[in-house]
Amino acid sequence: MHRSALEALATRDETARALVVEVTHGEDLELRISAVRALLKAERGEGYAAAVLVLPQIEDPETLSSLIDALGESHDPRALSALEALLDSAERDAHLHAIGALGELGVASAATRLEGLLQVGSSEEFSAAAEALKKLTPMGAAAKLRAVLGSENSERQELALSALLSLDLPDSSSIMREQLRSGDRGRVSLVLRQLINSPDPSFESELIAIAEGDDRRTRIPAMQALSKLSTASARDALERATLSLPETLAQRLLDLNPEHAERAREQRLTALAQEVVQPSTLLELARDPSDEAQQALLGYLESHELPAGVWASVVEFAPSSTVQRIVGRGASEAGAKEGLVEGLGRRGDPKFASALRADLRGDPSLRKGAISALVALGDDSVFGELRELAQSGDSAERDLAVRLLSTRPEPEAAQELEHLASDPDAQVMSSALHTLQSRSPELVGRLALRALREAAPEDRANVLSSLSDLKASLSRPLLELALGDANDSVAVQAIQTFGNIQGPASAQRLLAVVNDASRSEEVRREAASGLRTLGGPLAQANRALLDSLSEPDAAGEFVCNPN
Amino acid sequence: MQSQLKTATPAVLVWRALALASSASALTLALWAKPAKLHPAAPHSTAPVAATQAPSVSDLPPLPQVNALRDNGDVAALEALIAIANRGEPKLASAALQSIAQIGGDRAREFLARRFAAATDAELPDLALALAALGDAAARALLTNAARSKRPMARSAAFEALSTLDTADVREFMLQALSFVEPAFAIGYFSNCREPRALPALERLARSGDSAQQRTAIDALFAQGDSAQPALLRLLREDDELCDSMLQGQPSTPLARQALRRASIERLRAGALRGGWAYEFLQRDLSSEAREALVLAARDPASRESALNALSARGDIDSLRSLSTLANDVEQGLAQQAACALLSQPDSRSRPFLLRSNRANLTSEAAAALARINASSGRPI
Repeated sequence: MHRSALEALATRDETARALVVEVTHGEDLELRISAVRALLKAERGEGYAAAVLVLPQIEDPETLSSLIDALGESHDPRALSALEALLDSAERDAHLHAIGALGELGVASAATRLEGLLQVGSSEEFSAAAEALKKLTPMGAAAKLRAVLGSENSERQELALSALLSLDLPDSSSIMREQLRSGDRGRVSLVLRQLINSPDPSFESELIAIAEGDDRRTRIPAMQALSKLSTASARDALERATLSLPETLAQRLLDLNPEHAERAREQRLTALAQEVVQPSTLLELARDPSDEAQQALLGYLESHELPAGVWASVVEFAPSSTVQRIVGRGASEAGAKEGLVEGLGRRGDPKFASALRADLRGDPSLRKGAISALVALGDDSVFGELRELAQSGDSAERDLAVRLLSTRPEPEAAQELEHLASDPDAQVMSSALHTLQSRSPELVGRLALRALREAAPEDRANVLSSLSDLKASLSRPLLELALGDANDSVAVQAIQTFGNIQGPASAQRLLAVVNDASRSEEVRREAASGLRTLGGPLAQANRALLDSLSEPDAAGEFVCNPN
Repeated sequence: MQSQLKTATPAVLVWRALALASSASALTLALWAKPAKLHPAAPHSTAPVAATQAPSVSDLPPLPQVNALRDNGDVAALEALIAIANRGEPKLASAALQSIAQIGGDRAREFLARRFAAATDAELPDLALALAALGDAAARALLTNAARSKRPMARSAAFEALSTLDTADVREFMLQALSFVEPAFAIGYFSNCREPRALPALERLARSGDSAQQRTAIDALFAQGDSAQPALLRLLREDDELCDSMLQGQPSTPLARQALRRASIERLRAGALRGGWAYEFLQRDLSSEAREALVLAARDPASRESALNALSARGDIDSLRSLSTLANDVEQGLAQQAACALLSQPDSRSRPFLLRSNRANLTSEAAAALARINASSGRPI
């Protein structure tokens, strides 16, 4: 509301404008910023002077960023001093943003400052300054960047080349050729990237030479660039070059060329006759909806034994009609059966719910896969089976039940989960409690405490470990309980977790253990070490005590590694 | 949402031109396009499927022609689009679904609803989005029903699609969904929609939700603006875990930002905080109080590294000065680490500090930092 009022006032007579200027000196920062914005929008000179004063006060990066944009977009030389002040003083992002705004501002005198950043500055400053110069004085920018490209600093040369290539200069082809000839890997890679994005048949011979060369890091991008060319010679060269690559990578590169698609399909069909057929060939055929591909695939599947994983992927991606035929035929060997159910599960296709229900009643080895697939389809008929899983004597099945029940919205699912939250197996119990923690936090808090209290001494560390990543409000009472545990390994675990939680409350707990003479030396030493690592006033005030219990870590000596 | 049918013929002409220019098979489709149009108030209520011959897979038209069918918008065009959606390659089918939705009407909605009910997991999102684009009350009801489905992928696709709509019924539904077993989508909805009635549930979820729900609920509360201020302040006082979640968000009001700054500074001053979100927040906060709190935290060996890294990442001239001052501190450990932090992210403004750096044990590191800004020799290229 105040913003539009200020904007209206800023465009009116001198008295109204004076009011807006007065607001720029007020106490409310938000109002001051709005007033500056209003004056800038009205193209009033007072706005620029006010901006210089208000900019250093802004504490919100987004507000600062929008004001920098407003200054740049004003295209008014009076904004220059405000932007240059930011260049000197602002935090990193605003500093770079101000460099960009200088380009947008379009004031020629800013060029010297920007050119200075091409000479001395970080790579981010270089790129921002190059972009700004390109806007401000394209030809001047090109000349400066050429000079840097001719310098001896390889990092600067790369930065300059990258900026030059985006300038779309008339002689960019000759610049690129020169850089390819230089053999400098970084600059060659930049040129290759350019040729991938903007294919140029005149570079075919250079690309072929690099694609057939020894440098692994430039060969693949050269092949990518070749794949974008439509000439027969480029296609042939690409096929030659990809022979030395792993099949999947070669295929991916070849598929980038649209004219290769038909040839690739023919190759896949031919490949089926070979002794060893790669899984990727079968997958590509599964994805190809043509009758020819699907017939060939079905023929192959009928006469070959395949691992379950390959079956699963084929069933996941093949057209529905092909999967219908696979399901209709039925699978005889175990791998095919297992893969079929897994594939149907991944596919998530209601058309095959009845086939999955049949699997549920048939082969026991397929039961879990079929239940999972039906749950993913939201099938109502499967809830009885889910209950059975939840009551299974096998803890892995109960764990699966927790995962599947957690996706069901009905209240009966929550009841089963609550039951599993008291499971004797720590993994099952923990999974159920984690699932329920946001739905029934109080219940989870109670059950988690009971689980830790009732766990056998030898299981308590394991129970604590599986529950300590519950929400802090739920895990803290567990840690408090564990801190007093007679078993040292449980107490040590609690001490370490308190150390990770941080904060004065954790420091207080650790100090209490340090001061507790009834605790073992090991526990007190661990607490002392934890408190020292945590730091803060308690650690400082009790430094002598901490040092008497545990030696400061000598390995912690500082080594400067600024990069 | 009404279909955007035009009664004039230019679209048909364009379509015919495209079809003629393209192929003989497309010409077949062009011949189906009839100039007669349905009035928007009388959407397609009958399904003349039997009367329309679907094209074979090899005849399917490419993307621009799908758009031309959409612009045509008559019964035959709709049937042609339905045929494409049923048999086309995924990208084309997706465009066809959107075109069907834009033509709209009973026939389009019935088709989309039938396909949604029988869709594979991978197909569900496009179909749900098409129903949302169709957007009439009946389509919205289909989506809200699907959002209550027992099929997880159907639920998520429906919620995603509903999230693109802002109508009274969808808002009501999202308010109810804040109490569902999986409230995440509904919480996300209110990140883009101010609704005072959502505040109590969002506050509850920020408090009780798992960490992902907590973060989304806090983002949604921030998005509510001033009206959420009291709730945010209550949450901020609650516990450190909640405070951390809030520090990861984007406060949308100056008051919220100030409250987060205050909480972060208090936590740094209370100590026993080696690192974490309070440091990250103060690094991004441009206030002088934030900088001073970081300088103070650098004096505690336990929190020194996080505090110095935050000062170095800020990179403003005052933070660089602070680091430079700390680099000359009498406490050797602090001085050495601060001097090192000064070298870590050099830019043009660091140059005078780097040139002044005279720590004998950091000579090579200082030289490397100067080289990174191309100022090794102190003269330009």
